[in-house]
Amino acid sequence: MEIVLSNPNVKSLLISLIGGLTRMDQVAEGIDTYLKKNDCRVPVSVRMCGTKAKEGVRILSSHGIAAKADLFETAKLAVHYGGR
Amino acid sequence: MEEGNVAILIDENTHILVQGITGTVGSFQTRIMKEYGSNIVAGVTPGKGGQAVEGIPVYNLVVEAVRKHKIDAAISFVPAPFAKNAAFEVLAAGIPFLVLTTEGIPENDIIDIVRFAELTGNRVLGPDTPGLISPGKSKLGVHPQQMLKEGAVGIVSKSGSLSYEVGRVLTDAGIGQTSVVGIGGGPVWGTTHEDVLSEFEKDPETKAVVLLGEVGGKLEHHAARFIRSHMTKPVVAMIVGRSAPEGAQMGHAGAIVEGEEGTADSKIKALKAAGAYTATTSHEIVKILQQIGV
Repeated sequence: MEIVLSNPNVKSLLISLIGGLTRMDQVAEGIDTYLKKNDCRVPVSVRMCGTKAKEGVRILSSHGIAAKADLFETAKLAVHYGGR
Repeated sequence: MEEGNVAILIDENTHILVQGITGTVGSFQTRIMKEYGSNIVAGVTPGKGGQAVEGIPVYNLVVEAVRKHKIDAAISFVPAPFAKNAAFEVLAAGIPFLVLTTEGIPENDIIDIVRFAELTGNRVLGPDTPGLISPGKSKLGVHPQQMLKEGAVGIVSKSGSLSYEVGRVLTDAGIGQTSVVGIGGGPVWGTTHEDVLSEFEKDPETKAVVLLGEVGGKLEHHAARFIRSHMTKPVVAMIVGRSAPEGAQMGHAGAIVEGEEGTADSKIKALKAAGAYTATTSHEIVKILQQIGV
């Protein structure tokens, strides 16, 4: 996230996750830890589905992030947040 | 790899051994596979023999497990530094089919494993693969099964995530799958697109095939040649990475554009020329399958 956000032209961040071997609850905890320590200057949209996604979505909701399962819907949302 | 005689399509009668069954990932995925209905009969972790995971007996060595159980296939969750020895154990024990989920195995080790499998006449799927799933029947891998359902389309993919994504969109559109097979991100493969296409061509339940590829290597070109000369069933292909710059590694070890044949455009062109349908999005794959009448 630091590398992507170091580009001042980034106005909106889309994170796309689809869990097979990777557990979505663990990834959500990683995002949660980052957002608690750092200010994120742009809106974040998360697409999350797959292994342990229900738990992951619950963790993200504490940051007001409503993760969607569909990539295209989430991408549209991210573009909307970016002001285009 | 030469066209093997080992069938890779599985069902509820496939007797499975899990290597690395006591590990964090191995035990978690074993539970999911077992709940799904996979017939897991034994597990192996050196030094943990005599224990049980999810009621499944654990052995120190693969040879002990095969002495006590009939085993048709093995899946390995063994970490990269030990993956080669573990794979050799399976192949030497005469288990015909090994799914190697492990990521980061040194390339020299992978070459040794694939060569040894050729010598023993066994088949390796992977490494760095999600394995395979036969929706509604059995799962020899880590696919998110809730996104998939039983049906008539076979999917073969380099990328695990891409096959989940396409499977999910197909399932949402009411199109089920016979098997979803991940071959791994390369750059060395035990089983190729071509091998899996050959299985789907032979499988009476598979009516159409979705082939998912990416930049780098020549597997999709080999697949195109196979489609032209051997496939009677319709193939819908999607190659991702159309905007990948030359020389940059796109996530997978094998996903580097080097030379003309590695580009997405050249692969799409070859597949089209071979008679495959080509799509640029998962929703387009659905449309094509509906037009074909699958």
